[in-house]
Amino acid sequence: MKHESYENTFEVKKTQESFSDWLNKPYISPNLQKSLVTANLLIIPIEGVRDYKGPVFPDGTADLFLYLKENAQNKIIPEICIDDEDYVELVMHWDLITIGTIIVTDLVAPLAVNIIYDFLKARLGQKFSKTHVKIEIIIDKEGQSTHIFYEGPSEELSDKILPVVKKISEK
Amino acid sequence: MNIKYITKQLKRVNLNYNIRKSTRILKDLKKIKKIAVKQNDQKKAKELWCFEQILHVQNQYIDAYNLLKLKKYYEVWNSLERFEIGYSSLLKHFSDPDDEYWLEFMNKHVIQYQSIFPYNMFMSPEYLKMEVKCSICNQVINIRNPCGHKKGEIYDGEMCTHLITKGEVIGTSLVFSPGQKYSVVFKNDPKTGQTIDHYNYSSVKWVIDRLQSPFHNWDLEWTKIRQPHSKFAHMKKDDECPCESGKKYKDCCLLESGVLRPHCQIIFSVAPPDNLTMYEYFD
Repeated sequence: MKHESYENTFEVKKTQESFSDWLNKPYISPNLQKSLVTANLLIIPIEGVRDYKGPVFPDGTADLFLYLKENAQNKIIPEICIDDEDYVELVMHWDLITIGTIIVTDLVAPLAVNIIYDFLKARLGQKFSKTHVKIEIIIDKEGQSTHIFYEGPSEELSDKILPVVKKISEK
Repeated sequence: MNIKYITKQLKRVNLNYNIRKSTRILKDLKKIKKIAVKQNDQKKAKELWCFEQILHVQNQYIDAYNLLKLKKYYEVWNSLERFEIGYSSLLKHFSDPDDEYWLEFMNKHVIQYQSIFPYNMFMSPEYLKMEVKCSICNQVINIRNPCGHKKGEIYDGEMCTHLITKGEVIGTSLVFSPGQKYSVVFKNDPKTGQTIDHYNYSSVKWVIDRLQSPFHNWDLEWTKIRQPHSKFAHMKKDDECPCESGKKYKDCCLLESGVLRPHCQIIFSVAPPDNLTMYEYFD
């Protein structure tokens, strides 16, 4: 398999996907489901990677989850769609940083984008300006969802995504 | 050695790089750090970790220079990567605005060395991290109940890292920009099974032949200039243009005064030996 290094993509589209889709996955235990119901931000896994049967999360997701919890300002209630003992990270050894996919309610979406941007700055240090990132954000606004896909320079992430997120949030 | 003497040695690396006793410096730093940890002086222990790390990155940089002189290019490449990793760990904890320890100088030159290396294709393993432990407390990392130690932070004079204790390789990719630079793709001799280094190191060799110390400054500027058509006499008009535009030679550079090719200009702060050429053409 040969990867081309970088794409610059920014897409915004309507989607049917929402919080409720992720509560009933077979790998979500009843106990975990109770926690997920109270969350307003879910980190969701990648399914069907190669021959691996279980869901996986991009490298660094555990760090992002911790960072979100520490910087939530009592507004964001983050959760991750997996039980602790089933948590597995996928490492792709090239220098594109994959943040993965999050579903977030419209009201806290702008704050979530800011926190993710700060997380990237802290994680990448001096490489921040030279690194490309990939992220998918699904904004759930009372059942109507918008899917945002961004792949491009990390330092432009906030400038690209935030205006769209704010517009949806303020509607 | 006391800490004052050690820091003096680290600051004078440009003068003592080939005579200083690094093993002795490291041993003494560890001894002083042990006392700081015993007294629970976390600030001092962290400072001593920083000096250890400075010694480590300086040594990687000096090793890279010495290996370059020996033309052991792949080993150089790995030393440069080890410098890069050590330097980025150090940056979070150590500020050196006047570059007294030559950190910024070395980092600039490591980036420059890397940019003139011919490696452009890397093998990239994709793998699953199924169990990860904290290097400080050896606890399995739990996403909802973490041990409290933060990756990259310093505890008792040691940096917290995460160790993968269970994993699975699920694939391999060829990439241009690897997460880990050591995974360079080399050819293999099918008869002997031996690795063949097929890369052209002319640019790297050109620089190292002209440098007389790892701490002599040099600057590099990549541009493009037109090379005379006589250098491309073996090319046919219908061949792809040697400028790599994707067009035919006759529809591209053959219409111009020469073929547009990458040109690297290097400026040395200390003049290279007189017997060496100032210009060279590399394929």
